[in-house]
Amino acid sequence: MRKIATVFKWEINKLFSSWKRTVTLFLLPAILLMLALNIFPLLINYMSTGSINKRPVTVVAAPASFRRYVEENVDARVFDYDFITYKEFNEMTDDKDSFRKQIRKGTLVCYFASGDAFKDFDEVVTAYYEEVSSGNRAAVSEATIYVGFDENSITSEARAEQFIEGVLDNYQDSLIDTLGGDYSVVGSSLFETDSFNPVTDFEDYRTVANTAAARVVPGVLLIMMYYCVYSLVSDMFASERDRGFMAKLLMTPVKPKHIYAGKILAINVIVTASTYVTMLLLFFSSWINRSNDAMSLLPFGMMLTPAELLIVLFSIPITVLLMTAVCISTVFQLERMQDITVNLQLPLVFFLGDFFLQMVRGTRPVTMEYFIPLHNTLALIAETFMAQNKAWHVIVIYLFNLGLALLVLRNAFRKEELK
Amino acid sequence: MIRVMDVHKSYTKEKETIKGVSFEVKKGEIFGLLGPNGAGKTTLMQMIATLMKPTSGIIVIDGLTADKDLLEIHKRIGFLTNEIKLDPMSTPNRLFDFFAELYDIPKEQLYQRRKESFERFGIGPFADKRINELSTGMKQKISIAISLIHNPPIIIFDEPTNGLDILTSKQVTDYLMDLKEQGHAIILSTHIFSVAEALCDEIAILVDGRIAAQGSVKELVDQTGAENFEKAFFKIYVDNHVE
Amino acid sequence: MESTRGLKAIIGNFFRKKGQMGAQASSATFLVTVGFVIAVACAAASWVIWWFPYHLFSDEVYNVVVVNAPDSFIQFNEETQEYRDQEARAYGDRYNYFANWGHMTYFEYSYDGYGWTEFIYKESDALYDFVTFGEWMRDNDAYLTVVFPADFDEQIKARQEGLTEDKPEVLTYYRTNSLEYSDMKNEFIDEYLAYYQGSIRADYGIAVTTVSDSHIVHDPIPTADENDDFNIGANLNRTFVPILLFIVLLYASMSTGTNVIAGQKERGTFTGILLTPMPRQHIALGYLIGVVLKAIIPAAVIALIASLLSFRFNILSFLAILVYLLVLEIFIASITILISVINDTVVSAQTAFLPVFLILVSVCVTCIQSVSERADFYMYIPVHGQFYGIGDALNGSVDFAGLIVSSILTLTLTAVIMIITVKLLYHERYTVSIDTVTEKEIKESQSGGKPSFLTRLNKATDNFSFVITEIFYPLVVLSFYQFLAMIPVVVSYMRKAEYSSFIRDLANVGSVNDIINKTFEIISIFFKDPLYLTLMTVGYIAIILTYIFHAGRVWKIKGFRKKAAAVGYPLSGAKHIAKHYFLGLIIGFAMLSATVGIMYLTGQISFAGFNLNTASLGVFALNLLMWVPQGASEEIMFRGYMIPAFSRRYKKAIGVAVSAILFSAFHSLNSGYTPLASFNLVLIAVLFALIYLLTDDIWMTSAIHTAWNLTQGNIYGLQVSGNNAANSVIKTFYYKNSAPIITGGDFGPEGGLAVTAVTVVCLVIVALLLWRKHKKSKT
Repeated sequence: MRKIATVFKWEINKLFSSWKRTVTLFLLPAILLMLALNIFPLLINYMSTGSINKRPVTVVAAPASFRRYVEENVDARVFDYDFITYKEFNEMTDDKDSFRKQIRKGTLVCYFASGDAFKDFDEVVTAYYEEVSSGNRAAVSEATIYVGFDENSITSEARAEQFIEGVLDNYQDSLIDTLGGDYSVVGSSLFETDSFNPVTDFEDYRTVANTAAARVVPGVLLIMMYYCVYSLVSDMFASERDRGFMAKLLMTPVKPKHIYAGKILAINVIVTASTYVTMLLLFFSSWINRSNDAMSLLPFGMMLTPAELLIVLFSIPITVLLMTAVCISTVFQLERMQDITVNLQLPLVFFLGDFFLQMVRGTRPVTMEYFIPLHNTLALIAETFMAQNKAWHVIVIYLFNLGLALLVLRNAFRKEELK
Repeated sequence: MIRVMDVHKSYTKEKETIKGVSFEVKKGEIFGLLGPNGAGKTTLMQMIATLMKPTSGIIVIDGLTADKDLLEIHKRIGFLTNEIKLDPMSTPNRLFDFFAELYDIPKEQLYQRRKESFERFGIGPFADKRINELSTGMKQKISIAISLIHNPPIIIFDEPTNGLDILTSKQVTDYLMDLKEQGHAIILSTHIFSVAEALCDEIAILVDGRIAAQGSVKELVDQTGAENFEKAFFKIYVDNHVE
Repeated sequence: MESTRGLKAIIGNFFRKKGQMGAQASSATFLVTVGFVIAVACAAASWVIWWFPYHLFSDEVYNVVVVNAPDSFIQFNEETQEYRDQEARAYGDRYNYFANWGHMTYFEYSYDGYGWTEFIYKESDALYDFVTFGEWMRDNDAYLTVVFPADFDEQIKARQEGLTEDKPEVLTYYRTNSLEYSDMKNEFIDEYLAYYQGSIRADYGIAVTTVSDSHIVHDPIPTADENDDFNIGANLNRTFVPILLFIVLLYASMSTGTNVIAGQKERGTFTGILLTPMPRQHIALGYLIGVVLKAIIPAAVIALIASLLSFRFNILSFLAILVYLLVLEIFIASITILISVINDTVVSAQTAFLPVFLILVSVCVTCIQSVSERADFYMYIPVHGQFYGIGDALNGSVDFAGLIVSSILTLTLTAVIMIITVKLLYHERYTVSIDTVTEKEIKESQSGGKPSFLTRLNKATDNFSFVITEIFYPLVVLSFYQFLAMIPVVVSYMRKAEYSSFIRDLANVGSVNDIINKTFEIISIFFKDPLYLTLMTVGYIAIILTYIFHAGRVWKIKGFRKKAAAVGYPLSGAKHIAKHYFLGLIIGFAMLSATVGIMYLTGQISFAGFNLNTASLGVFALNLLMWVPQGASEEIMFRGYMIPAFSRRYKKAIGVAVSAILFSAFHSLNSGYTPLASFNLVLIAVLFALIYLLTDDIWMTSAIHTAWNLTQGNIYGLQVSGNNAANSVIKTFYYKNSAPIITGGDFGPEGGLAVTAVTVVCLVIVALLLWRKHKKSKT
């Protein structure tokens, strides 16, 4: 056991002997990922609209009540507004092509229609409440708000949905108080629900954030882990064997198993620590994200309960062990360095594919997936973020991966001994 | 100390690299393995050093075999090839400490051992420099110092003077002579005749995985009737090599 | 054209050597590949049978806990019972979905009826006690807790009678073990509670239950042409096939391209090629063509299969695809050759190529996202142009302008890359590993020559990052531990009934000023709480330990004494420590007593006898206990650690100044802040720093700090830098006409002139002592 510790300490010291190596290993992947996570939505926005800035919402013939609402409510100012009149709007739509182009670039149109040529939106609503409070229960309001968005763009539709839910619905609810006149006392709600409830607000944020995180975080972590494992294994096993240093180690009166164990332990500790750092950064990135627009990959409020956090944290070293086993068995099986690197890099492509698959799939894993090594960790982390984790999944995945890792390692070492 | 008995090794089914080699190395003897490239010198050395298993045949080292007492053998042999590249970011001192721990050398001894070998090879001033800042010769000397950190009775050197300048080569060969006098058994592989002539008590010439001739320099020259050792070697090679 | 022979030889090499290209596959990688394919198949299956997994996880719960249910709500539930039962019967057996096949196809995970819901009634005055609510929900298979105020019905009545404007507030809490409960909660509020509201309205005879003053209409505006049909096949052609082709090209180029030059360098054979009389551009070109030919073959085969499968095969578009592929591959190959030239080993070359690989794949994915939304100019630029071009060509339309422009642009880019490559080949220096460059720089700086721009930049950023780290380190450490200590306390207060209304008032906090005031109100409540005091004591001790460990480079227990000494706590000699510490306690007490004395003599304050009673003695003791590590932790932060850290790098005076300003800034955030307070805090910090320099350790300043805060808060009962301490020995009150300029007002004595006077006197004394010490050490 002491020998394992010696090798372990040696490898760790070796890594920390140069700050460049340390930074490359610990921070660079994490920082790159953070950058990617933040640039990616921007990129999508740019690709779909052709501009990095968010387009303002074009509000046609805004009534005074809407302008006041925007001024008074912080939530409404998440969007930028471009107020124009009917006339200007008509001029805009005259040129069909340029209007289409604008819509395609992500402009939302919010069109206030009163249904009455001589009254504006506010007047129609006020008139409606006057009728209602004077007892006319059959009164109908023709006031309508049209929200125009690009039919062919999912992002545009999502943004329109967000605008309606975040701004227009609340604005509509406020109308009874601002324009309701006599009716506002009788007609408005009798009680309020959760107008101030920090706990439920927190839970609501968590619901939104964790659903988004379940798409992104597991893939990111897996790619991270594999990248680190791959570079460390090629350094500690492949390159050292190539340099002949491994032979020197094997010539010492220490069991080869102990030497390998020390190295594997070092890899595991480093990669696990590095992944934890990445995870911490992901959480921070979520918590400082106040923009919360439709494209945000990690919205505000990502949170795990302690039990869920433990499940994720424990799954990481186990997965790292399995990845290490896979890489080591490749290194031991092949002779030439170029073959080894090509073989070690190929899984990275798969993890990338798995990451994108998880981004778009939106369905729960089928049972079979809990038995696909490495992929099952992705499924486990994703469903833990979704709070859909089941005890048997956790146990099966832990044991399966751990057992497989040990099996692969034993096989690899046995073959190496036979050489 | 070392007995190699009818050792065969084949990497693939069709081709045998070592085709039955036997010899013995005694205490206080330098045994030279001479041969052209591809004759199987490195394979043979690696098998003796237990880094590789022979397909058939037995190698006994100090009465021990690799199957049973692998770690015991490791304690008794020092192995060195010129192919070893040390970790560029490490320092001689750190490497020394690391291997001392792996070889289980007591702290008191370690100090003495370090002093001795650092002095002999002049590593002292570079002890805390990074490996990649050192010259090739220095690296090789550090490599030797580390290989012999546990003062093993049996030493296996695979082309120890390859790529070294004359001065450094001299240091190394002198060291080998000292070791021989102290009673170490040494196996040496080389393709430099002068080294073999100067150092070896017994030389085996390896051609195509077989020992073509064996004996002291004088014996080999006499056997072939050549003028000098170099010519003797060529004669043996031409006689035994099959296209 | 003699040299073309060399070119041909290099290209020929690619195809002659056996095993050069055909990389061997390891069984582990093969199995990983199989696993990935199965995973993709599973994901595809999960789209087809998307509803299936839900049946395996049907452990959701439907009950609702109602706290302080008003009579009207209980009555409403009873009225709806029959309807809900009927709904449950209509749905069928809740636990056996397979017997209930008909519902399978339109099954929704969150069943939105309330047929299975049972209401559990509970009473509690603690409206924010989510811990207890969680227990109730777990015990009763409930997903939701609805909390009514105790006098809900009365409040409704009062509002209807016009007695009040306030609306009663209902709170909800839901379980965290499934995210679906969030939707179920919203539905409960929007539907069930809305019906309930309707029923109350009906009770009060308000006829209209719903009003609809306006409508919101979704108005999708078509932006694409009608005839441009995006069916599945066409979409696949535009997304999946191009991305597949990209990956094939990238991977094939990587495995051959990085091998050629870097691999030969590693084997030492590259020098041989460089030594031949061939021009370098021919060498580079030869490798480029070789890589291109190698990689294009598999890609072309796939493209052929794809275009045959698309049933729109025409020779023109296939040729266009080939051109796109060729141009793209030339571009990719040139990058791999460049990387191969820069790197020495295959491993480093392949590792360096990975980011390029990932970036190009990401670009592809962004293209997928917006295939239908692309702007026209993307057809004309490299990479995007090829991606969209291949997609369009597969669908049978070829944009020749795009093809030509994007190809020319890409080839120009390739030419630039190739020129760089050839230049690099001429200057082999660049192909040597990066280590030699830094070594050279090190030598340069050692020999005292003019520092290069890079070293100067390094130094500047180094200083910057040093200062930033030193300034933020205490902030981060402090807020981390305080945050940790705060969590259990906040939770425990939310569980107490008597604080429910206090928490509800927080809803009205708006301005920044409000927030600060409320925060201090809350902290002063916490200061009476044993739990908080204990946790903070532990937290301060943790801060001290953090600093001690931080003094070493690596976190180790070894060498604790040395590290403790490094941050100002030499652990040598109990007698010495005790002497310094007790002296410090006395000085601190004396200084504050002097301050209070000044205020008393100038007629600002008066004493109103003793304040302490036996009941609060425990809390008082805890309070006393807390001040010890509190003072010590602040000293270690601002004096023991910071001053040496800055002194080592810059001058001692800078260390003192920075620590003083930071100390002042940290404390100035508190309520009742005045500029004089800042100034006083700087003075105090300088005084402490000088004492530290005088005694060479912070035992004494820690004691003074502790004694100061303790005397101030718990003996005289004054505010400590804006914080109200709760339990004091003597009750002190300010006269109504007291001058805040002397007493410091709300901030406490540190904001007033009384402290200024005392501190200045002490400063003069310490400065004299320091001067004497300095002189002594000189002689």
